[in-house]
Amino acid sequence: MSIIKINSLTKIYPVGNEKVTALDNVSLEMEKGKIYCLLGTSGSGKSTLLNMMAGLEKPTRGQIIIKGSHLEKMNENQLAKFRQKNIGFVFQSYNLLPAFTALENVTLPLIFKKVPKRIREKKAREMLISVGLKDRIKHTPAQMSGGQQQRVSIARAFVNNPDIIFADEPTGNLDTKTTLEMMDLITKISMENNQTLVIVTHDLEISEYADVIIHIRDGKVDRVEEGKKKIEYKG
Amino acid sequence: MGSIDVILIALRNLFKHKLRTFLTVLGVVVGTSSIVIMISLGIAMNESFDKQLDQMGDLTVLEVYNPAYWGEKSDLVINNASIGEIRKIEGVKSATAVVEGYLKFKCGRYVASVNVKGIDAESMEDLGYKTAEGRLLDKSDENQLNIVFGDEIPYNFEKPGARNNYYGGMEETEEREPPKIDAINDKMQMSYDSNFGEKVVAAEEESKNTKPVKPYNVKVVGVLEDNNDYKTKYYAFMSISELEKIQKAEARFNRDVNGMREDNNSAKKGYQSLLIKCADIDVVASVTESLSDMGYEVYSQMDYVNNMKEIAGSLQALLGAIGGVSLFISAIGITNTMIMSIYERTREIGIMKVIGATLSDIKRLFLLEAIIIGFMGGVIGVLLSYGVSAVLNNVELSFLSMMSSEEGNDISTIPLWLSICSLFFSSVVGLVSGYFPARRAMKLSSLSAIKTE
Repeated sequence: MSIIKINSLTKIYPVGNEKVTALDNVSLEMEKGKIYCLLGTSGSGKSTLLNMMAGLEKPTRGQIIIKGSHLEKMNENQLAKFRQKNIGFVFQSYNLLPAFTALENVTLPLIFKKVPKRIREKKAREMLISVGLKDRIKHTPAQMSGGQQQRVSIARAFVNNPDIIFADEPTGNLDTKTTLEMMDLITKISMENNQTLVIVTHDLEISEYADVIIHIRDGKVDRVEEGKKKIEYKG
Repeated sequence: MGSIDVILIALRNLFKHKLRTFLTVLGVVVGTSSIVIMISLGIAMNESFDKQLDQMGDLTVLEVYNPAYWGEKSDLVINNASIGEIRKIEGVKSATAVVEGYLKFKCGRYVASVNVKGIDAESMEDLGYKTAEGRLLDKSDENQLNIVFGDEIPYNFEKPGARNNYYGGMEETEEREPPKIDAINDKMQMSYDSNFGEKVVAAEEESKNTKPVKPYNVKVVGVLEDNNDYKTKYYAFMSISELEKIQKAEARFNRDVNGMREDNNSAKKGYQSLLIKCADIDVVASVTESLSDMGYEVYSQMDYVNNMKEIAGSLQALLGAIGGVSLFISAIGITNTMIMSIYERTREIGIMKVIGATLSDIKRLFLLEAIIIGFMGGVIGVLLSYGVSAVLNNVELSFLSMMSSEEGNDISTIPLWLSICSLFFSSVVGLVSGYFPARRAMKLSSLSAIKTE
């Protein structure tokens, strides 16, 4: 049973007077609990695909069906509610709110979801501890390293226990050692919770963490292959 | 997002940009306090204006002077016939002729010179006079030597020779001695002889070689209450027919004793003036007009009142406009700050949207920030206004005290409703000026917001 279903998805951007086809008739299916990697060079359309799956962009044509809901038919408020429930997002540039502490940043999705204060703080605290930031709970982003900020960002994506996690170049700004730590962390949590993880990257090394690697080229699915899957879930 | 969370996050955002928030709030403070102070000046002006109205007495009482009596050439004569005519005018409740005289009163060892108005005894109640003690004149007093004193009259009684203090009694000093007489209960005598009750130098008296004028025994039946109306305060009232009798006797006395010729024209000249009571304040204008049409010269406080109202109104509009302009500028300030804040936080807005903020969450957040700016500005502005108001009231400012005509009146008054209204109003200003920026924030595409590096 596939959790994400994409039917002949097309996205055309107007650039000046010309039209650029970012995605050309892409069809895909993704299963629950698996790790997918959208691999491609810069400008291949992989980020556009991810954004549309997260409901951040409207497709020109085609369908995106997640857990049976048609994202392309939803308005912005429905999408916001949908994201609250089902989707976690890890960004390349962390995207933490600078005025808030690590704890508050992690609580934000729960605040939007109207989770009572006591419960959401407990959840966020546990989440931060599980990503290894026990002693950084009250720190603001400016007081943390890039790796620590990305850990906060990961905690924020997972705190809601969503079914799907999207990660857009999650390690683009990190050094090799931290990159590996981060990939270990992110894949571990998603496997523990049987969540679907979709990673967008241009880095072959990162693609090795995936169950399925989807090569994107010039807006089309080039080929789909089995990943090596570096770590196995031992549970 | 819950309401408390919205408030907390909004406060957090504002607090993060302390200087900018402070400056924007300052703009609202200036706007609010200027509008509050301007309105408070207007209110204080109205209050002192109302006080003045009180002092001017009853506005529904018109006075008509008889030009013939004062020696002017005029075809009009105010006599009983014309009073009858005037009574027929619509809106006139009652009308009485007035004769004025200057008489000497004696009570025990104390004497006073008093202006006496002779009026229609039964019209006294209609004229709206009220007593502090005793009663007003009524129909039964028509042929009696009964008198009602204005509230100042009892203070005028002094020992003969203590004349220097006479005017001292009229001035309202705080440590004023109570009247030396009990007007209603003490025995009272009255005479048209100006020397009555005085210690006259014996030689002078002998040279005149006249018998003293026989005084009238009178009864004071009432003392009017203190109503600040100078037209009743310093007068005694009695029946017009009795006063006319006394004046005739005085004329005879003057003719017999002093050889003065009697003014045989007095009947033709008619009464000195008329007092006309209108049914209510709305008909004053029409009654005044009818009287003017009949050729009478009407003295009405209404003209003055209308003038004052007009001036006060336009002055208040001007002051309000100045305040309004300041508040408008501060509203632009709020809008500007909020738009700046949105540009700066584009990315933040995008992140919030991606991690699950709904459109209304974003809108509420930005609206609330604007409202908080407006409200804080309002609170500080109102407090500042109270301070400025206190300073204005305590410092002598010749220009401003001119506007409020009387000393001792406040220049600026801030009633509670004004401060509450301005708090509300400044918050609404925040709301309105934040609305456009908030919509703008709401409509930002989350994707392009995130991409902003």
